[in-house]
Amino acid sequence: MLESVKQAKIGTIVPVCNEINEEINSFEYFAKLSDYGRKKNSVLLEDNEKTFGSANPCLAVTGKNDDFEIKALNNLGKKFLSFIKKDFGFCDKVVYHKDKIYGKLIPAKRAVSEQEKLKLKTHMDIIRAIAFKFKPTAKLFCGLFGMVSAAPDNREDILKDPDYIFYFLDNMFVVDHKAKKTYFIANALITDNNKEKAYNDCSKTISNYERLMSKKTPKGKKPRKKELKLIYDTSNEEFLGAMGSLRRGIADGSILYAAPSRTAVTTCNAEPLDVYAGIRSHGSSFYINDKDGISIGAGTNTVLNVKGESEKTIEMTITTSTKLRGKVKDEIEKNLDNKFEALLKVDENEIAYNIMLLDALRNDAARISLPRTRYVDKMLVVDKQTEFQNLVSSVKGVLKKGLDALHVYAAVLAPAATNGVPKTKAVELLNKLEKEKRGFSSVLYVTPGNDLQAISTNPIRIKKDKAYFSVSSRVFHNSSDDEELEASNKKAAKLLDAIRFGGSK
Amino acid sequence: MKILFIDNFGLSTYNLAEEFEKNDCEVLVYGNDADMKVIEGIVKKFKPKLIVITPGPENENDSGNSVDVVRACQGQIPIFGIGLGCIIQAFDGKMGKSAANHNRIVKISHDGKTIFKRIEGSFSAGTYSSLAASDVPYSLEVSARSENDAVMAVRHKECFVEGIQFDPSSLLTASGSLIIENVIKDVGKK
Repeated sequence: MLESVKQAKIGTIVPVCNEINEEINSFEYFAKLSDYGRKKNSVLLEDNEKTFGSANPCLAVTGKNDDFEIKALNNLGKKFLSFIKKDFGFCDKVVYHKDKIYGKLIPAKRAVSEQEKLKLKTHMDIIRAIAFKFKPTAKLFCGLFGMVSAAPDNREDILKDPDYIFYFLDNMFVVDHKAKKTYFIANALITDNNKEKAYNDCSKTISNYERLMSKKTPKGKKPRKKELKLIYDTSNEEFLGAMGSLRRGIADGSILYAAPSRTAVTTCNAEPLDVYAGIRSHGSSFYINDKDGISIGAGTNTVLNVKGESEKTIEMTITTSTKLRGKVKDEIEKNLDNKFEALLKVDENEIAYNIMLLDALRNDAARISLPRTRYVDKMLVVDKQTEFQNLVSSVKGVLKKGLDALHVYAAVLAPAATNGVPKTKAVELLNKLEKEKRGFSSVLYVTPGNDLQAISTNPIRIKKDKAYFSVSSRVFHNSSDDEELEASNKKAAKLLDAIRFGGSK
Repeated sequence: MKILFIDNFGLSTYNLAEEFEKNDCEVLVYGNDADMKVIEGIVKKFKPKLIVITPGPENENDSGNSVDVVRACQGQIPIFGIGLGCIIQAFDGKMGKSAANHNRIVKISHDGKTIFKRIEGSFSAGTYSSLAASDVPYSLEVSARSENDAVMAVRHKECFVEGIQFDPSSLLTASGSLIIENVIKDVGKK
């Protein structure tokens, strides 16, 4: 590995890695790495195939309205900043210090075609300038990982979070659940000719990861016993009123579907990592401790993947209806499970809803895919998880020339499932009806090799002794507002249970 | 063939664009929020052989420049409107509520002419529409209806203006590609 680093050109990134033939317990390891999730700038992303985590990223990138800041979190971060300091000439204002670059970027608005709009200047160009700066010499685990808020709007902003926050993860642990292997990775960013030092720094980082394996897992603090109260910004009656208003929008042809949301707040003195343990699912789930708070999410309904070498494959997945697995005394009872699956497959309204979202997903994919490459890969497939079975559909395509993974993300920034159909009009109506800004609405991971994984989600946001989350509902043709409200309240109760599981009582 | 799309920001603009692109058409998409002067400039420069008005919110207030584009270009450039609203309104007809069409499959009977050539008998199509034409103006003829007699397509009596009230690019419209091919062939003959 030292030789690869020595031979690497300036401006490249070289993986330095230690592979272990063991699938470590990723949750416990992250607890050690992050001091039970308390360490600022610590992140974890888990799914069925792989888990990765880090607690010592080199850069933090944040933006709010037109302002942005790229902050070095360690010496490597400072070297990174020095290496990219001349790359932000496209911004309206940029100031460079040794430990941060900050400035202003006003998104461009010009009368151009919808295809050209994807390439207009936005804050995504700041992310692009960092994510793709270093050229990988081999396939690697590394990149920008963070959260992005829904489109800016004029609603109340109770959380006062940035519009986006990203970390550049130059080092991480990765658990490959299928291959049953673990990797400790530190990538050498070649910014100058002192390559041996870059390699030695990576070796030290990997040794630190290895040492942690034999350490004891820290324990979460026991929370103070306190009554748990859930307060919504919108009462049930008001929420039903908003749903009624959206239903009128369907009747007059303005929209086909909308997903209204309301914000819930509760006291929370539990360990956030314990709360995470309560909602951690066998789908995708994440934990991010940033400078302003902690975000926890799982159970997502739209997932976007861009991957491949020279030809990039796009895959978008939606999960709609959900039923429980058929269980008796905590064991799957096949006959009962079949019955729940049958109910999932014969619900005409849910099938029509899934097909409508699938058409919207095909539309998003067609915008960024080469003609003749976009197709439905899965249609109304029942995906069985440990506790739930879901109706899943997905679309695949090959990325158009001249676009990258971040263009793909920008094109599907507000997924139909979490906002409505048509998106633009649905978002316009929701902005008028919802009281609070929704906060972070997606999590994404983008690599120097132009691969991307994004999840559309409404995370629990923990700040000081409070937990905030938004709970959405659905309004579509033939849906019942009362039933949808009940389902929405059940979702909220589940999240509240997770916070209870964390100890708040 | 060069085609200008007017995007009404619905759920099928790029599904439709893909249908045309796979027939070797070059598609340029402009939003319904673009100023008419911008659209006029694009028409002069790009010289489209066809204008496609894509479906979107059916409320008249949300159709942006669509009705103006139809009025300005009819008779000069062939027009294909998906979602009848802007076609009907451009020729002073009226749209009314029709829950029967919403988010479902409809069986469509047609006259077998122009865009419906080579489609034998009735066919099934997906529609996400809440509205239907309640007053079809004299300048248009009805070219297709649903089983509940709702107007599903109209055609101008004198120039190339075709409008349909279903989504040919939807997963639920198996004959959709054939309709698009017919549009391209007919425009090619002009």
